[in-house]
Amino acid sequence: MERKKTKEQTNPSRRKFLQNVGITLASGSFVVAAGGCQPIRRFIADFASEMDLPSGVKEWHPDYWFEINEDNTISMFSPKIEMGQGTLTGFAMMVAEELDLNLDMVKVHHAETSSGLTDGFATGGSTSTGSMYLPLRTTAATLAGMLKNAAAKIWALESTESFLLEDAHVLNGTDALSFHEINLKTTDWEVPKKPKLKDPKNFKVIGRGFRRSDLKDKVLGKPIYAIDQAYPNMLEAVVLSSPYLESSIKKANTSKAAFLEDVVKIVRTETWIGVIAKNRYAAEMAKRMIEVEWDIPKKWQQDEVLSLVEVGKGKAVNIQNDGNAKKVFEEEEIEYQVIERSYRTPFGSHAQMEPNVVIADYTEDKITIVTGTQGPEIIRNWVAKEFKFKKDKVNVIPTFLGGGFGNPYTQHSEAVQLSKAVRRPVKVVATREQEFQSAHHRPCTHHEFKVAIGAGKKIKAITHNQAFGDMVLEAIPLVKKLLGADFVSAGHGARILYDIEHRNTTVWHNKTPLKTSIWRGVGCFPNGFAVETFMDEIAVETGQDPFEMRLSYLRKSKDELHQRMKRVLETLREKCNWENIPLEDKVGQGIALFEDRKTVVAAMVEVVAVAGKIKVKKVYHVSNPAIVVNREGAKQQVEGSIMMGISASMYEKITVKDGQIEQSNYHQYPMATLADCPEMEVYLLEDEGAKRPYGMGEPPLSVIAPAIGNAIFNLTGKRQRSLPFELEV
Amino acid sequence: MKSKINFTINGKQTSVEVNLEMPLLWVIRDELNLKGTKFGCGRAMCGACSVHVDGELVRSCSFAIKRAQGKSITTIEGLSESEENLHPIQQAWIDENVLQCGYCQTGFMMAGAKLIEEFSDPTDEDIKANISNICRCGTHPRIISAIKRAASLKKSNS
Amino acid sequence: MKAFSLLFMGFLTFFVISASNPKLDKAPSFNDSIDQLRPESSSEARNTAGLFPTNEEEKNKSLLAFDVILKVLKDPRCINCHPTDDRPRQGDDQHLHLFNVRRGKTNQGGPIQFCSGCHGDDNNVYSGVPGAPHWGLAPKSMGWLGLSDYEIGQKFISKSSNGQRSPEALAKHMTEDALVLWGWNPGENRKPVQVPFEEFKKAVADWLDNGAHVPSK
Repeated sequence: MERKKTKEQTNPSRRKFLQNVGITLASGSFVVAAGGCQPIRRFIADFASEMDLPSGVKEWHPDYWFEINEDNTISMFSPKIEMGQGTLTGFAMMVAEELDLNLDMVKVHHAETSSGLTDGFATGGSTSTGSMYLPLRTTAATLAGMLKNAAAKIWALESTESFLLEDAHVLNGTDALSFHEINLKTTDWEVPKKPKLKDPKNFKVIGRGFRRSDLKDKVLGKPIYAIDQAYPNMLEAVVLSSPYLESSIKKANTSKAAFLEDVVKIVRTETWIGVIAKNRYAAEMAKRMIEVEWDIPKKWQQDEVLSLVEVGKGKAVNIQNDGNAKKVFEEEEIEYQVIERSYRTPFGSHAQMEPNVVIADYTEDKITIVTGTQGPEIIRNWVAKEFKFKKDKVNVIPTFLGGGFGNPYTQHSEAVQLSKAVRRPVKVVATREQEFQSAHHRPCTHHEFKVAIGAGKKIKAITHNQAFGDMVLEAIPLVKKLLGADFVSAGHGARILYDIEHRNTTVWHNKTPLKTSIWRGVGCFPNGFAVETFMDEIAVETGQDPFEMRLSYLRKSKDELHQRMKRVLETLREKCNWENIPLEDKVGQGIALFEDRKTVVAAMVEVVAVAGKIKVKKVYHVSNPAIVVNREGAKQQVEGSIMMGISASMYEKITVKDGQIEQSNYHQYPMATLADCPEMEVYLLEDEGAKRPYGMGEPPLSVIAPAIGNAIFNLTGKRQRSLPFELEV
Repeated sequence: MKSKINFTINGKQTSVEVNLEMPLLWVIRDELNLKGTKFGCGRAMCGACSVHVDGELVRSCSFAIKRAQGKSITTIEGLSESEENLHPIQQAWIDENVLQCGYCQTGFMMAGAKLIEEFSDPTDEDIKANISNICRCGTHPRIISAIKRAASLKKSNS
Repeated sequence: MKAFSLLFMGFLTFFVISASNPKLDKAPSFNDSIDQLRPESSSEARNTAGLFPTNEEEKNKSLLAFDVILKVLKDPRCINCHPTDDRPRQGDDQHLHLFNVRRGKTNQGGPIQFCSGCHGDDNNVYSGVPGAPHWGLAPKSMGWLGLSDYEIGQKFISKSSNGQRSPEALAKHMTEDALVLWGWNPGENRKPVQVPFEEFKKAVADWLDNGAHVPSK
């Protein structure tokens, strides 16, 4: 199975113009230290909370990255996946900036794993733009230098000093050579020793707002997703996987299904049954005719599952210990006002619109996979291992993704086995029921807080205990042993960031029978809700203005993060005109402030009651990712986060009944629709002199749930301590 | 049992020989190779598979092909005259930079195209009350702006 | 028990019979609100359907049969599309129909999302979406959801609210209309109408044969 060749790929004059360039671009590495004592874990927690993760990309040679096409456009191959977050547009902007190209001259494609351009960390964690910002610009600047050097050779000039790049040409004042001409005439490339990056002062592209590079294809309905790919001889397949938790097949009768028209083959394993057919309709209808008796070791109920995730249960790891909070609470001489609260968040579904799709072609000597995934290299490695192929004999071709949000659900193993069974390409498209009942979900959480308030309403000490289900660690036993608890993801955002003298945070790692994973925002969705609701409760209990109270724990600190938090919050207060909001009974206001991987965000939400139900009327949102690459893209991420935050906090909940997830399709998992869309005012801040941008894909989400909950309290007087919110008024 | 069904797709007469219960969605996608119409839920809930049948908005996963006999079907691929001369809804989608992952958007555009036929000057409320498709990326505010823009583009075109 | 509307015309002949009955003049008009259906003096409302000479025994038989009919009228499969407002319901818990589905000008939804956008002439074997001919809401005058047995009876029997149907026409509609019969064949995972069809058919016959009575207040 070969990918359909694009025009530039089949063009014989195209050539890779560089073989082995020795530029190394260190982008950091995740050093895992041995030993398991708490201080090391706290150190890792500090590190992880900043998520200054490497990009995961191992090859930085321009010949992997770029191709110069006949029409002078530059093809860039991206190891990061476009799932809607706008990353490819941001990449194109960075390349266009350093090569002085018009944005539409840069065509960004997904790299196949066989190209060597792979990404061991997968696309996620809001790291793509930030981690690639300097390396990608440097690589593009290297290419610019190479083109100038090559042009100098052609012109027999010594210095490239006065050369300019314009409209895909190198200019020397009198002559011009197009990128393509240079490419044709050059066999021996000279790489600049120190590629010169543009001074941000001279940016023409970065920092402005551009429409998405994939906009027109998507508007026209072009076949760019995995589900749209088709290959000669390809068959369609569906997999029957258990809708029950932790179960396998006891008995199955596939005879009726096998005789259905257009059914080609039925493949049975211990945990699933695959139906291969000539078309999707036949495959799906045949699957429904399979009679199965499931082996269900335990029919879990909702209360039992929730009771597994409670503070005090499971493996505890302390991830923050500033001052001595314990001592403050034990102190007998001083009388503190002590407030204790607990919060809960439910299991949640990714509910991305494109169900998982894997096309596999198994042959004697190689396996080709076409799929929408956030981690093509991970899938390549899994497939190589499971089917005992060398990694270079497995090629994963990633496509545009119809939404990601961290969903790791993939049927690559099933697809390869099915293809192997018929020795033809097989396309496996998950049903929506599988997405709800067999895939992964955001784990539920439980939070307990305690605060000691002393003289002048000042918080002396605060503690946070968070219990959660795993997001990633169960899959990596070695790391689990080292870290003890999944504070890197599920516990991310649990620490108290305000400048309070005594702060202590402990996380409790628990296993649940559900498959759980990362969900947009990682731990910041539940922790943002819990921490910022608690802050609001403290403000209300002590009669303080919610802005003023928060600012009082930021103002005096010299810490850079505190200063950035203060700036974001003050900007929000100004933009929403907080001081002059009329005191109306009919509108409730609530605020929240949070930090997620160095991006600071704050929101003010207004809620109203319409026909007895809470509605979000307006959202003011301020983010500071230090540098904004594409203002349009960043705004889209904020708007998307607002809607996803409304949806997840007001409507969504995955529950278990009689051993299975109760929600099988969208009718049982209500989500926000157009009718829930509030007015939005979105503001983006930048930091002067910042070296690189921080993420915008997830951080804007963290403040939505608490700001809505606090606004509901403000309107109704009813405190919202668990999600989804009580919306009846 | 397969039978022959004749209908018009994007202005062209066509026929397919398929099981009569096969959803129009899979006929469009896999028999006619038009991939812009998407599979999202298979139960007429998300709207990603929306198309027009004789001018009415239809969720094609819940429209058995037997109902298509003699009918005229329009998909996203047939909405515009050409890629240069776009239907107002598609033009507005570009103007407003609406989409993110884009997967549900063709369904939204089909619904929006129908909406501006019925409402020449739609309000936010008209749009909110009459389109129930699901989008996970959260493109809702831009969808609302784009539909209003499309309505005015349509007016100025005519 | 959905969408009587399309059958209106076929039953005009029965109009003559009913028009000759002076009692019917007291029946609520098409535009009456539910409150107006509760007359101060209930004596006038009683025997609204007294189309035939009756005795107490027959009347009791008819009313007993109507109790069975009521069970069917109030079954979620029927009453979900007989709302008194403009929102059809779904499921045994009778939640508002998802997708903000509305009655529309013709009781068929719209103006953008029509019933037929998802519902066909039969249950869809692939999507599981139910279907039957002329799928749609019953006209608002035939809305029963949330009403008392008495109120339903009044709306049911009164020609001004039931689409000008005589008791005979009602009986025929209830036992022969394809959309009504769907209630006993509602497709995957849906409970059929809880009263078996044969029992219902017999109840309809008993009700009609014994004077077509509906409950008094």
